[in-house]
Amino acid sequence: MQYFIEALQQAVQLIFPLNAEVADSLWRSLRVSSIATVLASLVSIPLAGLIALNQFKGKRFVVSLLSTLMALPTVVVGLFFYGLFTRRGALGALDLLYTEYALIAAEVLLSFPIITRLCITALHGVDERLRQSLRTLGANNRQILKFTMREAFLGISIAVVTGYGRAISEVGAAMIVGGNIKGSTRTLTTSIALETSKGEFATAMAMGLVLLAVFFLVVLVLNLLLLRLEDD
Amino acid sequence: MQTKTGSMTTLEAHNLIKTGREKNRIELEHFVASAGEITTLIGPSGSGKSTLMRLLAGLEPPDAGHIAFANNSDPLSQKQLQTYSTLVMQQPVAIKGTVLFNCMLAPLFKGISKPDSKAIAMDCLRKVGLADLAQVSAKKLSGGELVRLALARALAKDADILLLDEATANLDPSNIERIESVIKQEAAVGKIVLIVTHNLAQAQRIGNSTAFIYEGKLICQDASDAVNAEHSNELVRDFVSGRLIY
Repeated sequence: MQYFIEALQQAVQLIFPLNAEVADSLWRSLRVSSIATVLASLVSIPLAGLIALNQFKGKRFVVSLLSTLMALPTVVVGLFFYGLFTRRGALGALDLLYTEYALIAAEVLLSFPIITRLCITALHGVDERLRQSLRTLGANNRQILKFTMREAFLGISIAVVTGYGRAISEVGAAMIVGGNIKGSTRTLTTSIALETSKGEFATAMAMGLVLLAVFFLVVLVLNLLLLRLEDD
Repeated sequence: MQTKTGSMTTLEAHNLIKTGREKNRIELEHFVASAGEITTLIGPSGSGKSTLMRLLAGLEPPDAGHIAFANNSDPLSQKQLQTYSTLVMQQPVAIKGTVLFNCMLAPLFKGISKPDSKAIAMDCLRKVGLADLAQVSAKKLSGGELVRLALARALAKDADILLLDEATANLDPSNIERIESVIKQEAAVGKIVLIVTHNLAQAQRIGNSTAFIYEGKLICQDASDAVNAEHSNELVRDFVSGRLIY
């Protein structure tokens, strides 16, 4: 316990001022996970709308599959993209391995099932009578989808924030497809893994605290913003 | 009397069948609702009244049979029924936004401009006595206010067929009186108005004709004041006098 407390004290001293290397990893983590969440949301939200508001053969299977994929192991995603982006892989010619693009691709795949599945749940939670009321008021399918999404706004927002949490906190895939290259693909999570393996526990803890603080701040700001929009 | 479209006089359902659950199924040979009149639907719970309303509103397709206007033999498609009708549900839902916004939706869906939609909405809100609450969040309305909003929302669509599914159930007398007054006005301008009610006094008070539905079948459709304890049909007599067990 004493070791932990000492490490924590050192960690706090290391955070202020934030050194350039940590700041670089932090900025990369935020940038990559934000882009990945936006890209995943652009696909996930409309797809969730199509799945939730339509009846089709195999719907249960699709929803169950998405539920399963929510727990997709990050290293498996890393291996998948490694196989895809490696020189002999299907997309090897694009030379994406060990770049931020590879990190984004992996994080999109990790966030996608979470955002989609949670959005489906949020949309299913909207009272069926709302859609019927809109229909009797003359709304077309597109308008019904829009208003149902509007009604499920908070649930959809929570889905996106959860997806963002998955993206910013993952380490397995980033390690495999990013390679943890200093100044290039090193994120805060891969830095933490590296420092821990080097025995620099205090440094790793300092980075962990930064990651935690930043994530809390981002989620707090997002939540406040969303609640305000919800009230409006 | 003709509706605003100029060609519709009577709405008819022919050999309408909707199967499914044991209760709520419908098997109607012939059902009529005239423009300019209020047709009330009575019958025990689960007899299929709401199913009929949903079919007339185009929310569900029938399994067989068709709905058409009397002077036009072409059956109305589900899409056409959605266009020509509007339904006020027994337990309406508020759409996120203000009372005014809720009421502007139908005109906006029709492609009417925002200022004109607002004017239509305000006019309808005045009719139901909700103009003062125009800027209030619709989610904050009481039960009675919400039903009035649902009616105003439906009026704003200006549809030829106005359907009310037990809209006045659980309302206080003043709200019922206000809603009935608006319904009568709508019928007076030539709309086809259908109301599902469990209130026999209401059916006789505002209805021009009353249809009694039992186990999905239309038992009778007569002038509202003729549907009473002296009716020639035993089931009707039993229902009206409270002896019908179901």
